[in-house]
Amino acid sequence: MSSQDQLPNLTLSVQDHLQVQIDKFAEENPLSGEAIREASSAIPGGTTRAILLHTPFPPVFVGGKECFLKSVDGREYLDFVSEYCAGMFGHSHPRINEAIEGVLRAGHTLGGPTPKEGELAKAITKRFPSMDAIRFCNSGTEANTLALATALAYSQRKKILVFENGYHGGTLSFSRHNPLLLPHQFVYGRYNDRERTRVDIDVGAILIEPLQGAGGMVPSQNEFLKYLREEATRVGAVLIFDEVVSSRLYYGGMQEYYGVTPDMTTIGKHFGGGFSFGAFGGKKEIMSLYAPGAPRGLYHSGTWNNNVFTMTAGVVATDLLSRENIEKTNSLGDALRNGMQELVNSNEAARSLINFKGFGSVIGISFNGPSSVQLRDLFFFYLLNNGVYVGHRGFFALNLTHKQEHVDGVLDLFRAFLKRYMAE
Amino acid sequence: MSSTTDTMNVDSESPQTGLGSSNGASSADALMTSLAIAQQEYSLSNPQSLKAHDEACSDFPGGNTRTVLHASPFPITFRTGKGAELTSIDGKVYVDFLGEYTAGIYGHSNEKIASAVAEAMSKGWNYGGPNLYERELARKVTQRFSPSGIELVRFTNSGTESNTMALAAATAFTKRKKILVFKNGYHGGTLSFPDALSPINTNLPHDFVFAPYNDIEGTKSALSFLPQNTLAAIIVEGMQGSGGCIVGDPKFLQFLNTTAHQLGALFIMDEVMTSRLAYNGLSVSLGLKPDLITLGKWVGGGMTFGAFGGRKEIMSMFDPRKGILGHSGTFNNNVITMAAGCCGMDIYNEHEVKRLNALGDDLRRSIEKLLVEYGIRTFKKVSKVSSSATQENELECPFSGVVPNGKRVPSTQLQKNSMGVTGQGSMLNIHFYGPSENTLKALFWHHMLDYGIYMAQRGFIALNLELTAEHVSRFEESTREFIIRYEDALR
Repeated sequence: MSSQDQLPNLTLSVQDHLQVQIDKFAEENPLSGEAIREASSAIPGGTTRAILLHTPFPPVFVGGKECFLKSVDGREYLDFVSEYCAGMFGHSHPRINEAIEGVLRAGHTLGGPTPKEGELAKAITKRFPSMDAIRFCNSGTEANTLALATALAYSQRKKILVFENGYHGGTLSFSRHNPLLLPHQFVYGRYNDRERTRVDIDVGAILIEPLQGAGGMVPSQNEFLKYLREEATRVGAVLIFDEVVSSRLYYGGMQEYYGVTPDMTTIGKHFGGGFSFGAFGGKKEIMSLYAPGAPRGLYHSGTWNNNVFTMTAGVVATDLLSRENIEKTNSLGDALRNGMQELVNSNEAARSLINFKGFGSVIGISFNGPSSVQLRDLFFFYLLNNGVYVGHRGFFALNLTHKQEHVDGVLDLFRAFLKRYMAE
Repeated sequence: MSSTTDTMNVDSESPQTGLGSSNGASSADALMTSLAIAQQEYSLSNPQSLKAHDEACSDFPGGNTRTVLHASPFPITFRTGKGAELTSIDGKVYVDFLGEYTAGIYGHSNEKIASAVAEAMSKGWNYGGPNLYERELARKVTQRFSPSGIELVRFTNSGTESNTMALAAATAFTKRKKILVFKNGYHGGTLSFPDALSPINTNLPHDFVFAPYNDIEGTKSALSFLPQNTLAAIIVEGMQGSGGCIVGDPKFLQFLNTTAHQLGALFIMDEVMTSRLAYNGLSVSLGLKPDLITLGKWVGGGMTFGAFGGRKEIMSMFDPRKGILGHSGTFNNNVITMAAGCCGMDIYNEHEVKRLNALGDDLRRSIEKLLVEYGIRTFKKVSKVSSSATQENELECPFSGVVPNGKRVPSTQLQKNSMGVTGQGSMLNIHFYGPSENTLKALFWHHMLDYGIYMAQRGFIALNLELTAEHVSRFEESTREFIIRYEDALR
């Protein structure tokens, strides 16, 4: 068996190979490095999104078209990050462009309701089994924050059941110690594990992603969701599905796919058509707490909740996210995931080191062994240096602009990666 | 030349509790009848808005996705906006004196901003990585607001998120839990502290301690109950915006600044609205040194935006090379907002800051003069010479903000109705007091709509850069008409 930090057939360690790729990236992309350094004088770390940062520095982009990105160093990348799943329509969709041109002509920042918000609400609520009514906000983080507040107000309880590795926004992130965590009374369950997930009688809300996105693109098991549904009903807790990511995987969200209807649902990302967006919706009795003048009424304002940019782009988005288009994108994602899995299966070393998870258009790739982190980074930089941009933590997200030829291109590259580092 | 803080709301007089005869029960009935008629006319002349509202009720609770937009009997739905004007789906045109609750400082169709947005989009969007725009906007923000204390900044998607992150940073930095907030304060949808805050609300589950605004003694008292070393932060608005444009007393704010630091807590200034009142931020103009400042609204050029920033030592917690806090957010650095923000900050330059705030001060003073002219209010004698530039006479005030013993007198306890205006610069709020407060407020809103003026039903006004002197005159005249019409009820 090869030594712990060495890949078969290679004289250098994983770390050394990684360094080669990192050095190559740094050398070939000096303007990105400079841009991050300069930005650091005003933004801690050089970018206002922590997830984007990694050693030595991330590529800094100046443009995009369909599923391609262009960096400040003039490199072009085939994009499989898709704006962390929010970019379902590529970087230049003409219908969204057109819609925004319309908004600029008609005027914006109006300070009152417009017909577009009702149109978007209708388009969304009719898709999701759990949504009798909906409210818009500005991000998935806000949506989940408000959904929890709503659930606790409705149930008049304080305890919230969440899951290890769950991610519901920066202040609701449960993958490691998080000093930014909202000081709710959280209790923890284990994803897909009934034995280690107990629903106490005083739980007021259960918050779960039907597919753990940031946690590795891990789909839930149907029986697990059914169990939570039964338990929530039994104790009178509000079951909340965070479908901010997973709603890209099925027309009515994964709640429709699994046939399990929660009491509330949160969405965000792609439903804003690329503009900042979040929303929470649910059963009539729960949402009616927000009806102005309702007894025990709740208030929720927000300058941008109904901004015409998001509302207009969102309406286009819901139209583009047809059942057919979602299925097509899922098929491509399956083709890529299965294709990579097959390549791994036929490689003894790779089999023990590389795993795939995911569903449809999202793929999680994870690495085992003592050098798992370096392997993950090696994979990332190897692809990057060869013109393919994937999520640094190990994911691919396909969008409506991807085609079979793009998938084929990645499979070729993946084959080369295995050959280079894991050949026998 | 006028001082920017010349309308102080710290009242040295006791509240009016029945001086002279009350306006009487019959007056209240008459007002309610007038309102009923106004609402009926409103419903009849805005059938499309009514229809839109009814339809929206099937998907939004109460037809509403933003509580503040709710209006009785239903809000006006808009189709388009141009410059300083709004057109409703009923085809009516209004001059916009609401300015999207201060976010709409550029008007509805600013060409420069439209170009910036179009240009950004022409290059593509949703990169999923850093872009150059965020660096440029960050530089502009830190350069402009560093005198107020922003050394490093991070972007969010809303003022709510900014304040949320500022509080999270404060608790992480100090390793403490308690947060001092002020009654009638507003820092976002999940950080809202009206006087009558229900125990069941959507606020973040922080350990909040409440104190009265503009009341040093009351605040000292609230702080005296805190065990040592438990206070993480004091968060305050330099002017309570959503709370009715209640101007902060500089002495009070300085007291908070000093006290926070004495207690080892962070001093957070919520400048989401007030950053429009002074070029480098309100904080520096009041001699304050906050540890963290939050921004929002206009700084994003009219696009979704929020920001929090402050001392290097604190903000460096978010630098992965130095600290442990990770702040992400899919749309934090979206190119549309970044580009529009860069453009907007250039538009709202020093000259425009002065001009717009002077326009607001003029409007506020002319409303005060109207109130005095019609005998609704009198000017308070300024008994001591102020060290600041010549102060206009202040209105004698039944109450606004806080009265001496720290208690706000509920409007309903007053025997007589009255009217007033508070604010600073380009932000002002028209108030009604007395037993018919809500009826008068609604009547004023309908009245102004009839005169082609749009503002918040709660009386809030925020000027935008497209408003002209003619528009402002129209506002003044319309207000005069209202006062004439309801003189008896107001005196």
